[in-house]
Amino acid sequence: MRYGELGVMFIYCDTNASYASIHQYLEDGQGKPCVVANGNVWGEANSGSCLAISYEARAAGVKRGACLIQAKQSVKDLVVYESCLPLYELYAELYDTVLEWIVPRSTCVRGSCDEVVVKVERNHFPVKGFEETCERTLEFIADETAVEVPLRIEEHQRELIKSLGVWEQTIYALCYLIRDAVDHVLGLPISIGVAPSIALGKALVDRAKPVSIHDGKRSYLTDHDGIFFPQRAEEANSFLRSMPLGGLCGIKVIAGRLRDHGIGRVGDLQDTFGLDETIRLSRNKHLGKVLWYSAHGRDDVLPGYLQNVRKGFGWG
Amino acid sequence: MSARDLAGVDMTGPRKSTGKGHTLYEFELPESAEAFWVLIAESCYEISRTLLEEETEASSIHLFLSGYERNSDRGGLAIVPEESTRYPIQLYHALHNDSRTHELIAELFESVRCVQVSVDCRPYVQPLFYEESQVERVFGLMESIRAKVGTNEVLGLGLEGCRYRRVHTYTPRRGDEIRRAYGLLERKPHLVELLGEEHGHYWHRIY
Repeated sequence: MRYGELGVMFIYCDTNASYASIHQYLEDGQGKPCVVANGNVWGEANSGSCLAISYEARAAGVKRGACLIQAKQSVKDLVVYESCLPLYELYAELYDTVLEWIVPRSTCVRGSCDEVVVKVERNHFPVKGFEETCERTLEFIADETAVEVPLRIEEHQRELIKSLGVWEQTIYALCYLIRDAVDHVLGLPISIGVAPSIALGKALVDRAKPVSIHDGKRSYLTDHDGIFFPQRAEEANSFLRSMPLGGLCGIKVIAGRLRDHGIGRVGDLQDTFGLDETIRLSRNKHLGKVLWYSAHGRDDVLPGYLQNVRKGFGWG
Repeated sequence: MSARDLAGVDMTGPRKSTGKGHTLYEFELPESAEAFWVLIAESCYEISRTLLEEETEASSIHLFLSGYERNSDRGGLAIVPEESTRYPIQLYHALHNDSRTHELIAELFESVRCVQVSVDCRPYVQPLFYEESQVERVFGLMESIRAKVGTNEVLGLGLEGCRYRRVHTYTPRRGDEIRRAYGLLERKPHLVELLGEEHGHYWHRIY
């Protein structure tokens, strides 16, 4: 099935190493390995834990979930920023303001301070293709706010987009505009997954994330840096199937139980168990449902914060 | 026998902070689920005292229990659904009344795991308000738990003891954090300007 035939798509925007990126931008730490930590950041015991780890620090060996003392041992010149919750809340406000230069506020629902879902409906949105949408929006932003947003796109990426239908082109235009406006104005690098469901969009974001960073340049697996918009359901499902079960959000413990039954990847679950069997093996009715529906890219039952996004779009 | 002895663990042992900047206790899993509930109750109680002492501002408290494999360098895995309440000690009731918690804890005892208790206060819009009488009522709860686990000893070291053993955590005050946030934003003046902007730009567009 071609996604271009669907009238509703979700653009799932996730900030890369959100807290770390904010501090790097504001405190001129770009390119340096850093972590954002809380707890006794400056205390004798270095007992804080890392809330966010920059891609530079990850490249230098700081593992996800490491506590501060482990991070400091891994990287000699590690920069440590102390977390500041109100700053992230203000940044979420700023993010929303920038988004509204591009899409109506009513189409955006925030899942957390660094994740936003935009719902685009063909019948309620001006479908103008890539060039016209970009051109008009950038002009509008410049007139309205005096901000000149540079569009980061290579010629081969432009050609790829031009080969698509006008609806898919428009979605691509929105993705590029959101990615580049947020980066230019707020200094936040974001990754975007586009899919016909929130759950699938969340999963696809993983593929859009940078895989490495070298001399400040990020490398991506996707054709469009930081954007993954598969054109066919088969392509999206192929990536979904390859994901480790624990990679689906909110269900790591349950995924561990399924691993005991030889289910390591999403594809294994899709092929092996139905909903009832998954619930039985999960030993938790709600989380079992979350797992099964997430593994099929469906929004019927979502993890907590995504359920709020779903409600934000007016679905019970 | 104190709760500490009862659980066979030392709560003054290693602990660290996690989540969004608040208290976390870390302990080896005790031998029985009853002793584990004692530790949870003590944790809730001590969190109450800590937040009171630090004049933390919060409109709700979120508590997480998480377990992780011993010696793992990974973060914790949530084992208890997030609970939210106005006062931390109510968390104990909320957790204890939730059958899912009991199921998860029963499973926890099948594996070898450490347990963390963390608390996250948000969104800090009003100060928590405790009176000493409230704290004493809370202590009554500790007594009833003691009765449940079948010992006549006072749990922990008693009210005074809990005060003494209160864990000092790093919990910045909301006002200080807000000042810091604006200070950081001022380094990029265009962001301060953007904050003052009105919303609704999109509808200025003409297609």
